[in-house]
Amino acid sequence: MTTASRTPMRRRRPSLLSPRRRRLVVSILLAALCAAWIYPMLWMVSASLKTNAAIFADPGLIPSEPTIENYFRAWTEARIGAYFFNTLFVTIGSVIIVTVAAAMMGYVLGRRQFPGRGLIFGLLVFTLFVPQGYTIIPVLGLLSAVGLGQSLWGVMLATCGGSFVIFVMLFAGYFNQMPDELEEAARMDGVGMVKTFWFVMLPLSQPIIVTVIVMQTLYAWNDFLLPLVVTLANPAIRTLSVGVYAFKGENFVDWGGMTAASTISILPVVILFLFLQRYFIAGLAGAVKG
Amino acid sequence: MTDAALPARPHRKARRMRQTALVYLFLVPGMMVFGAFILWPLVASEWYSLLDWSGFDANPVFVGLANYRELLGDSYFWDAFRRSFIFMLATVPAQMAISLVLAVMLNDKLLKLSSLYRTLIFLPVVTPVAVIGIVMTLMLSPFNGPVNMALLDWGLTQRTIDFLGSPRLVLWTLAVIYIWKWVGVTMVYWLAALQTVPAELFEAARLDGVTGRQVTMYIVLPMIAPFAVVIALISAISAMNVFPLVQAMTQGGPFYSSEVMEVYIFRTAFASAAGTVPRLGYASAAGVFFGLSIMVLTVFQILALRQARRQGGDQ
Amino acid sequence: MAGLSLKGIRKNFGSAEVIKGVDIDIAPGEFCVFVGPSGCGKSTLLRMIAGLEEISAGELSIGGRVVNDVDPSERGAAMVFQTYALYPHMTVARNMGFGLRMNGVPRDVVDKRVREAARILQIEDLLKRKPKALSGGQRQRVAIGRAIVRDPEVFLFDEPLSNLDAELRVATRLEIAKLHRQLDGATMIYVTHDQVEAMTLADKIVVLRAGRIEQVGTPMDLYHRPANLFVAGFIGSPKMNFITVETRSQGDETVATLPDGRTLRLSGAQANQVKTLGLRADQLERAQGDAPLTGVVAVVERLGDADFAWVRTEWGQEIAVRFPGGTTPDPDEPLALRLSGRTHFFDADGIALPEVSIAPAKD
Repeated sequence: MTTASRTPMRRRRPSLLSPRRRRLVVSILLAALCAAWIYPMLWMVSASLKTNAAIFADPGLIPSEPTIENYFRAWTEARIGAYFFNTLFVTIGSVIIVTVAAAMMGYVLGRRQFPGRGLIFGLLVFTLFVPQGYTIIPVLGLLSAVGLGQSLWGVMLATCGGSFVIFVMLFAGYFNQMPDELEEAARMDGVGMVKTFWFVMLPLSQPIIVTVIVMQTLYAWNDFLLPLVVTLANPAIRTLSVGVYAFKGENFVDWGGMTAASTISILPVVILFLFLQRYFIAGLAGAVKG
Repeated sequence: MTDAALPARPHRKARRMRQTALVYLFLVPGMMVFGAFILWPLVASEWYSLLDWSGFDANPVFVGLANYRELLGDSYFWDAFRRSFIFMLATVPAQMAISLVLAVMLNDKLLKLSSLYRTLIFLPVVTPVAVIGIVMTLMLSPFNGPVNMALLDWGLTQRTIDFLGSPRLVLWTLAVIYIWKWVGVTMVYWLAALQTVPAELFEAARLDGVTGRQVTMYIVLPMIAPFAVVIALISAISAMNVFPLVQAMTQGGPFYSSEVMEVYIFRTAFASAAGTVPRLGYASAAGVFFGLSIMVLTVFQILALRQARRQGGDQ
Repeated sequence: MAGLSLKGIRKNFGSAEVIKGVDIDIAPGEFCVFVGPSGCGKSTLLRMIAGLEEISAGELSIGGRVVNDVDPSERGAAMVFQTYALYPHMTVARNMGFGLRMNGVPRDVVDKRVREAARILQIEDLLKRKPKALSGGQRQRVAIGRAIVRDPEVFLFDEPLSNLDAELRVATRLEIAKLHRQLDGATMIYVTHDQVEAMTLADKIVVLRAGRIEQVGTPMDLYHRPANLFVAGFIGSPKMNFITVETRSQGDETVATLPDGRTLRLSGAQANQVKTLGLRADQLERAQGDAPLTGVVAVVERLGDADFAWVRTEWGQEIAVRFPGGTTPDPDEPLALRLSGRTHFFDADGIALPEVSIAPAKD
């Protein structure tokens, strides 16, 4: 700072905090904020390890007599185990369908000229700005019409629609900004469109694939309205979201079981996000730039 | 084409046809998802809204605009309509401001643990609303709930507050929880926008002796301003999809005081608990009416976006 | 090895014609360079030969076979792209063998071809790396290697050196020249905007401007006998000096008047049409006493073996003059120059007048 104060640019009032000190203050602020931010989750995990009697009597975060009894009860009696696998089925199925379909569509939209391209783009953008919850009735009508109105397959297929347009846009934007030469090199080598897509373009779109997988997993895992409506008459095919919600309605005093069920249902997505968050943010950033 | 000077070329034409066919083949899976679950519902809603229809097993009866006429006189509908917009106006600005502050703080590459902080702030985003419904009901419970206990202990209140049970408070409580849940997403959008600011600009500013706050105020914010409109647009549309949270926390209660549009539609279309007859056509009409209102709002925002772009271009 | 023939080739993008009728013959084994300023259509022409752009009109044949309608991969041509176009997610070996593998060539055959190409280019120890871990020069070699593996009739290079730094560009230029010999004189077509690359590499240079051929010839042809002002100015460094002159007939000879009023006597059939005088920097010499050109040295660029002085004439034009190292005048020094060696003459349309020369002195 002594040398800096001699330069004319530093005539202005020297800032009160050096960058390092300011960073320290920001760190403390953020740490405090984050602690408060996730306190409900910590409290939830803590409650899931306490007996129902201890939840309100023992306010500390660390349970004095931890028990995993709640988890057994939730997994079997409340059928959270079955719901877990239902959700897994819906999530994995929709992730696969959405990723493949969006990548293929994004590829031709981003890199090929063909009659109807403008129309498709226009439709995509148009639907982007229509909130989705208001279209639940026709979706259900369609599923009923093809006999999937009360089936897990129906939930899985309809879940694909969630953020599909955004995914197509992400892929189209990404493929569009890829250098032409890559495809031309493949063309010179006599590699056809399908193989070029599969062996060259798709591997290169990995950042977008990760983003799509994370976003669709989050969406499918957390989706509520659609599975709620589809499973109204068929509790056996409930997903975790609906199951946990129903748990609250059916066993409204079993807070231990509820928090245990809740913990089970957030664990996979939290773990997935922890692993992929870096790529996820980078992928989104790349898409914003493009 | 410009090939008039040359004789016809059958095999080139055949190859091009094959290419075009392949292009359309690539579109098939995507168009099936898009058509069935995005486009078709939009179109079908309009048709449904003209029917009197009491369930998918029942026979629909065409009633013209009767549903819409009834809607205009339905005070529950207008209350829900109003609440949805109040909810949006209450959440979107706060959500954008908080997430921007967080993003600017977390964009500092030299800040230790910044990726941990990001993950923690993102945690509510990945948490299903059903879970949030349970946890928040517990946290805010007027009977020994941690929040009320803390408020009493610190002397901030003399009596316990029934955050979710009071018709006066419930919508605002839901708004705060909504912001808490979704700020992480908006923060990621801002972070992505911030990554478009070239690092050289920060360095150049530093060499010019500009302080961190000045860099933020005069360099970073103007540069990401164009993104603000897009982010506001996305946030506003998302704030209309608040059904899961409300349904999981209050189901629209108490006494309909948190019944937003989607909850109203759900109740009229499916509610069997109340013993009323499901009214798919009437609910569709409510959806179409509300959807059109949002569309108008969107067009308005897009015009604002154009304006901002144009101003950005002038600089 | 195959020759190429382009007959009346044209290319339209919409209503804009970017290639306006081009005829070129390239002999088997020839190294042909397309050179010209950016936007002249040289890359488009190359891409039409490759099959990446369709030919709007005209006929292209490779090895005697008309290939206008033939798929790029079946034309027997391999291309090296300006940006290398290496697949970032594949190793060097996979990159080089990708095309063959995709077309069903057995793995051991592909491996053998890749190893052979790697040996020629001395990149055997890079085969397991990914492009990200390579330097610019190494990436360039891999891109060339990918072409070699295909064992093509014709190599096409699209400004392959423009992404390299100056030093590497010279080294790689030599490598490509060597490669041309090593591959038993495979036919190569090379696009560049750099006339030095064109001069050093080519057997035959095609100078293009605005979609038309300005001149075709060997490097020395173009240097010594440019067909017009454009080629004269484009080939050679520093750029040829052009001086505008006025001519009038005086008896049986023609007198050209320089802008400062001095005169030169010209002879030859078309001497009265001369409008521009072209002088290369090495075709001017320091003179004593009376000389056709005088001026003051404005700037001196010293290269060691030779120096260039920029001499400001009395009418304000700066003329480049080459001096052998050590004999260079200092700035602000007045200087008289006489013409030595070849002088170029151009008419009002910029067309060269090869028969005109400076009349011998009459004593």
